Amino acid sequence: MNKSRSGNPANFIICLLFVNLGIWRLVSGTTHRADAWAAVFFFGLCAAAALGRLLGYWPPRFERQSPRTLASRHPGDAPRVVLFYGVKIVVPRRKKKQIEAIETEKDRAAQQTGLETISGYIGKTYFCYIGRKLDTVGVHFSGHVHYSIDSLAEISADVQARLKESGTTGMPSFHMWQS
Amino acid sequence: MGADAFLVFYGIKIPVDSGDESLWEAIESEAEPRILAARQAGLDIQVGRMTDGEDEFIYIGRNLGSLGDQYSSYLQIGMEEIAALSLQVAAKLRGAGLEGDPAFHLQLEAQY
Repeated sequence: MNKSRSGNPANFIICLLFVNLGIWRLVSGTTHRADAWAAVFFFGLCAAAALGRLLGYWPPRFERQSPRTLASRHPGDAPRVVLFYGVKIVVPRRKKKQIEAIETEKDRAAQQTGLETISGYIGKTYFCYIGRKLDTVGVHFSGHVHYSIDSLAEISADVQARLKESGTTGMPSFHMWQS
Repeated sequence: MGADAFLVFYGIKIPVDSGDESLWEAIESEAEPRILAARQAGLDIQVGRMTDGEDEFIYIGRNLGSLGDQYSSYLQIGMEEIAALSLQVAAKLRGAGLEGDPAFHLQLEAQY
């Protein structure tokens, strides 16, 4: 972070005058303990202020926040959309054996045919996509993607052939979801 | 900060110069010739921008939906549906005299 420092010698001299005043008050023969503590406090405050002023850290600066830009946004607060072509399998979370079988099946399909898989849980539902992840769109990814109808047909034919080869059943389609 | 939206569209994307005030006035008053032609042909029109001063556009074709906090969180489209749509949109674009290569678009519209 670029911190601007603008210590002014005049301010430092003023601070020093106050410091001297405090020291004088301290050593001018007072016998009152309260006066001595007040002088020490005053001296410390002035010294800290002078030092801070010289280093440019005091008084505190409240810089106007610059407008947020796309690049400055934290990945965590920026939604994204995944574009996927393939089969979607949805199973209730409680059916653990079925989920285990799907997990095994998707790993085998991925290894044998080079298909991609995305799986996880949303609430009480387990989901698994088997096919090909085409793109992610978002602030920290591409802002725009496009596919001609020919390239979509090519992707579709390729993924369908691989799904058939792996023995994965179901009707593939284009899936888009926000994550 | 508002919510980002993701437009899913099949059709042509026409870039718009953000500094072209006469063009923007025509778009806002719906007098822009391409928008008029598209409307007469029964095509969907979406005017927007990715973010302030960036990638401003007009989409003409078929709006397939929007994703985002204020819209759906999931969309599914079959290949057969897109193939049928592509023929329909291409015919309407030709009929409206609008040139360009239609395509499937996924477009971020960032909001602040």
